[in-house]
Amino acid sequence: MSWPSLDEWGDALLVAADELATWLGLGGCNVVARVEGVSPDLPGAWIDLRGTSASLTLALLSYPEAGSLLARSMLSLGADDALAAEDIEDCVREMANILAGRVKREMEARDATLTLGIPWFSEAQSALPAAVAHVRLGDVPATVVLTLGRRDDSAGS
Amino acid sequence: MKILIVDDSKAMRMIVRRALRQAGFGDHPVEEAANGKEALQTIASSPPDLVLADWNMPEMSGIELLSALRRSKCQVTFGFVTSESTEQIRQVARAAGAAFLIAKPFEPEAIRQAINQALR
Repeated sequence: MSWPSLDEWGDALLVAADELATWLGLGGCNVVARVEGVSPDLPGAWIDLRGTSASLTLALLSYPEAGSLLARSMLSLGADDALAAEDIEDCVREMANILAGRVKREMEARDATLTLGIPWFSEAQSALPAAVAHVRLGDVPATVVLTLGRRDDSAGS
Repeated sequence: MKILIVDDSKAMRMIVRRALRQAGFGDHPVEEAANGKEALQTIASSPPDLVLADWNMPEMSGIELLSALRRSKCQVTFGFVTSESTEQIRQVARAAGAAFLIAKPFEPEAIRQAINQALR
């Protein structure tokens, strides 16, 4: 059996992003650009997805204003409602968690050993080799990222 | 019916609370815990009728919480509300004694149906 390619993981992530954006009431996810490069230096939430086929880290990154808009959508808050920075981070972590769970389900037939980690928020992450998709969740600009380390690469086989 | 929501995300606890209201359970008292350990303490001091728990949490996961409850002969109705929604996870949840598993993201109707079926 062949392990999923980075593109296949990326496709699953975009399915997840579309479902998330729809749930947030933003009308779905549109891909602005999809590139392979390094993860952008933006704040956001990261979560590990580990399995036999791969060791992935998935991220949802955005400028702070966009993160605030996403959190307000998630909590059904208006633009003038108070929202603490820690609550925005909590929301973005939970959104990354939802994305990772959906990717796991989407890829279950290819790798049933995947396990999710606990999401964490980072103001900035040093650039990592990654598949990057710049997207719009409704009108809100964001970036979804996948870094991929093959288990069999590290084993040298 | 007393309901305990267990999730390490404060935002998600708020969303589950809101969904419970929208699903018609707004009159029922709701308590919250941020992980399985906190939930065990809450359950010991104030036993709920229904537990809605996340799966992946620091300190003690939802499945560890359910296992601990069943080991101690606590038969509280237990459902997962989690981003973990593969068939394999659903089987593990059922085998451990969960009444249902609701996948995040979810709509209030999913909460209403799951709870009504579990309490039938």
